[in-house]
Amino acid sequence: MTGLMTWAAALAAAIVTLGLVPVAWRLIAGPSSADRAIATDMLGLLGVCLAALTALLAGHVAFLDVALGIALVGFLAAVAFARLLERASAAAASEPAE
Amino acid sequence: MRAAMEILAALLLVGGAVIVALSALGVARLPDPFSRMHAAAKAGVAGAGLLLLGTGLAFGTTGAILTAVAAVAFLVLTAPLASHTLGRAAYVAGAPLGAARVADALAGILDRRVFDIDPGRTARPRSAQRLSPREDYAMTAIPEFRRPADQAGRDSAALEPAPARRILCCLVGGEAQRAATEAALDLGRATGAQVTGLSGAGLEPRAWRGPLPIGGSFWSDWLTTRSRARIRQNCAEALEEFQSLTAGASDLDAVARHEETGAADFARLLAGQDLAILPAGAGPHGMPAEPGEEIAASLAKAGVVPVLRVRQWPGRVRAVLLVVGESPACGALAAGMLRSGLWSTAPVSILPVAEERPGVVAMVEQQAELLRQHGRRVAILPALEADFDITEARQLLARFDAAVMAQLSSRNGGLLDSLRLCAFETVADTVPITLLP
Repeated sequence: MTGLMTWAAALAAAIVTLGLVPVAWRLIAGPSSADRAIATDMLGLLGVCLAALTALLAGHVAFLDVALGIALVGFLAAVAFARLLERASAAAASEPAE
Repeated sequence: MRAAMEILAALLLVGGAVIVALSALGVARLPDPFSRMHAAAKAGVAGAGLLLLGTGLAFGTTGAILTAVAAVAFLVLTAPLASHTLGRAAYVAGAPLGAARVADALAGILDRRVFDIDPGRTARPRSAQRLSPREDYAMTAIPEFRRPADQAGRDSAALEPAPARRILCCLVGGEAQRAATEAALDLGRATGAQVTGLSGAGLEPRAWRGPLPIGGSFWSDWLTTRSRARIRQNCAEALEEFQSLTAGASDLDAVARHEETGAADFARLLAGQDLAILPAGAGPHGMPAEPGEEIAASLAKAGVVPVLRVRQWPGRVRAVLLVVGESPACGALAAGMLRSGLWSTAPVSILPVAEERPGVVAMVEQQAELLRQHGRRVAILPALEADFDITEARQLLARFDAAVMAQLSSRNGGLLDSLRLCAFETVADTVPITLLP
């Protein structure tokens, strides 16, 4: 692990962390639950990136497996959210208007 | 070799991080859920993949590289599935389409449901204030010298019929223009007012408000040119007709003018006029328009001058209808009609619309009382329900020659445009003359 790698990893981690801010804003602001589900998906991707960078900075290859796990969970979460959205909107449509 | 690998890994790391951050920015900044999803799926996976590869290279061991490649492969395989299911769910849930609205290939294939999903944000209680004619209109700069004030308008001093001394006949063309011109000339003869035929007002540049900003200025120019040509042609025909109708009339004080101005000079053109007469169905771009989008409707919304919208000119008005809805401006209809001095002998019927709304019954009774005080015969009709039968309503309306309304259209469409009927539009389409005081 040379100085260049540490610097590059730290810089990349800083940039990815900056990216967390707009995604968190979108997650909070919505306005629809579809937006929130997409923001959650994006958060999973950012988590993968941060786990990989943690592996570099901490020097443990094991964190790369964490990244793989986060990617898996993120995929399942996205699919589950999608199912939930479709069902929830079906229920809303069957109720009377307004 | 080792140094080259390190530099490559560092580049991959920083490049991937930058792409991921940009994609996160896209998730926040793009306008609709579908483009946000596209940013998250494509740019996000590309950035994360580069970053993972960079990590694997930086470790340099076979195990790390294999893990990284496996993670990238997994991401590349699953991201399309995940974003597809998310996009499908968003579509079904009724999220706004944004730019995809240009060609909605899924229309009729997937069932789109109610947007959205998040009742706390989307189902806001609608405030009654929004319907008031003073709200949210560009012409609030015009002094309120003509606006019917809700309470003050009921003072008896303000109710003395002021005979119209200047009548503005807007020559905008359309099918009803001839009726409108005749109406203006007849009224001018009856009251001795000066009739001004004005053509060409309201030439605003028409902005291209399409879903995509592609070629915006070109389309704006094109639309402006086209609508300007159409308006000028309509105006020329109407002006010619006006002049031929007034040519032989010696008992009439008639002037014809042509002025091309935008809305900024509107107040100057309308200043001093007591009544503006407009043909029905003339839209702002020289094309026929729905009642809610006519020039007459926007003039009435401005509240600068009472507007008489003419569909046909029956000559003599035998029965007048007052349409009272939920908007506060409906409370000043009787006052406005009395002040205009029109139809001073015709019996008046009051038609309540949406009686269950707060204030409608009170407004109906107040106005009936006011009209009786001024010696008019008043009848109160049974209220029109929100889901009235349109043929019955038209039969009921057919015996009236004139209607007094606060607005030409109150269509809010309801949920997903489910309300097709608008009482005000039905009246505007059925009754020959509409006064918007």
